[in-house]
Amino acid sequence: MTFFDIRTKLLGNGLSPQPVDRILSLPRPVPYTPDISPSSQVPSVLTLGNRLLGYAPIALTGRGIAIPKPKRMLSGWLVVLSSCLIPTIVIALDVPTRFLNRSHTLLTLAGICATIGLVLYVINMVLATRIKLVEDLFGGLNKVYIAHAVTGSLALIFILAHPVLLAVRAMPLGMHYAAALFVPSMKHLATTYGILGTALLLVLMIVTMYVRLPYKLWLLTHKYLGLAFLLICLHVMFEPNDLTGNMFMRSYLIVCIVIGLAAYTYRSLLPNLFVRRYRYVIQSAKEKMPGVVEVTLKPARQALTFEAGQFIFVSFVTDGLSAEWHPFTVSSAPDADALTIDVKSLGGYTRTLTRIMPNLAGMDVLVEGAYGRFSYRNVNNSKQVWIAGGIGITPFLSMAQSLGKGAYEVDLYYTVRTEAELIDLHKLANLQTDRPNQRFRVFPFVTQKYNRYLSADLIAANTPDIATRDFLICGPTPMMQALKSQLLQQGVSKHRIHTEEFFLT
Amino acid sequence: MRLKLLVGVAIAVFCVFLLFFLVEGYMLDKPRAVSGTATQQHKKMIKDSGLLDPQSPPIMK
Repeated sequence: MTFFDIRTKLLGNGLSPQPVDRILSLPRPVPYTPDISPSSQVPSVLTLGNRLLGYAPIALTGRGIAIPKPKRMLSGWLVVLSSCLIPTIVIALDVPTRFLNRSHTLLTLAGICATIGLVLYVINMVLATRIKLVEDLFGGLNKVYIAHAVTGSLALIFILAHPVLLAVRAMPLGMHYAAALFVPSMKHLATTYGILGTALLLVLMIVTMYVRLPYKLWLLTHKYLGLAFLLICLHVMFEPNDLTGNMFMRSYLIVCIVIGLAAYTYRSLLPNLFVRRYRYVIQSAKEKMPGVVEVTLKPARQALTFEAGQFIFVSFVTDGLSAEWHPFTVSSAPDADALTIDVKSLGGYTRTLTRIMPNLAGMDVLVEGAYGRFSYRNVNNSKQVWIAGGIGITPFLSMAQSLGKGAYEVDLYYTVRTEAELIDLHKLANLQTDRPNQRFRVFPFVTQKYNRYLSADLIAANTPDIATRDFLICGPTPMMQALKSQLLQQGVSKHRIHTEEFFLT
Repeated sequence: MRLKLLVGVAIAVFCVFLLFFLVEGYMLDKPRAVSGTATQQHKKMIKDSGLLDPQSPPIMK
């Protein structure tokens, strides 16, 4: 497609007309882009062109796009839904008088709400364990954390509904009886456990969802959710009720409680004992651009295995930094000797880290992972478009280095605000190829320069038959949302759009 | 965002109920059964409800 085809297409699509020189500078593969200025990080067009004309050696080290993996997100939610529906049906059907009158109906509904709330609470804690099974079920840790947030919120809603329904039921007896269900009393310890557990859960959820705390403090408050769970479990076990008269329900609730406590112990109480972690040493740390540091890690003993596109949790053990665990996407190839991560200054922790990092060579770090399912290998289509926004380039750096010997046709659109933010463009350019059945092209896009954002129109103008391609997008959430809706309008099926949210909150 | 809104609405509804029950129960309504001023009908209602006898909830009777 020529420059003028792009221009015609853009103008023909009803986009606002632009000066010709601006249209001429719309994204093109790196070697042919005449307007990417040479700089310390961006090699000259001539250099790149020469290298590519001679087909510089390409890293054909991976296993290629070959293994189709089924979508699992649905099965994860099916497990959640069935875990809630099964006890609900059992409760509703086990005694014929469940819905006999107003009082019985309210009591039954309160019991169902309590049960669903407890089950969702347990699922929420299991999702926080980051075990492989839940990642497989939901199709990646980012989706697990979305499910974690949803189940936690729903658990709170159902648990709050429980005392309200009981209080409404008690209203005909007098408001004092209804009110007593919300006031702790030493005379009714089992009820008091429930009241305190619900109150603690309520406060912690408000803090989690609506108060902006420093990450360290937020994490501390989040840990107390285990205490709220314990109090609620004591309430379930010791409060006389009509649900546990059923053998199935009794067993179900006990199993739920055991699973919840085990999950909390595994991830929050004794993670050092149960969670597998790897010791690495910082080999080098160099600033790629202001605010982004490339950290190379060498395994002290055993190296972790990962797929291109996956991310790891890293804890830097040094003075001046708390030993928090933060997620970073691996930007090196899976078979490389060292592990490379790009740390961008986004929050308080990473700001401090990028500042002190150059002095940390030789320091020990702990690594946990790898996590995530955002990889070209998990997409059953050799024709793909990768879209990276800013630091969202990191999974694609790893993927580009591990493109295999099989057939693939991949276009990478790499959008940044300013030219200085383009990291590793040189490396990506050298990985480009144009062979029969194997094509990898890189399209850098500087929004400040073009005075517009990357859009589906621009992608369609450069990449043929986008409706038959799979899209892998990683970048800021607004960018991903905008591109997703534009691609849907362009006729791309939503099943072909895969996103990676790298803000795990 | 929608999740935050949903949870916010649920918390607000809960707080309204909580305030309503506490104000009505402890400030406006006296515990009639406890004070011994309940009517026969009220006493019967309490007995039938099983609320004061948690060991034998009504449904399982």
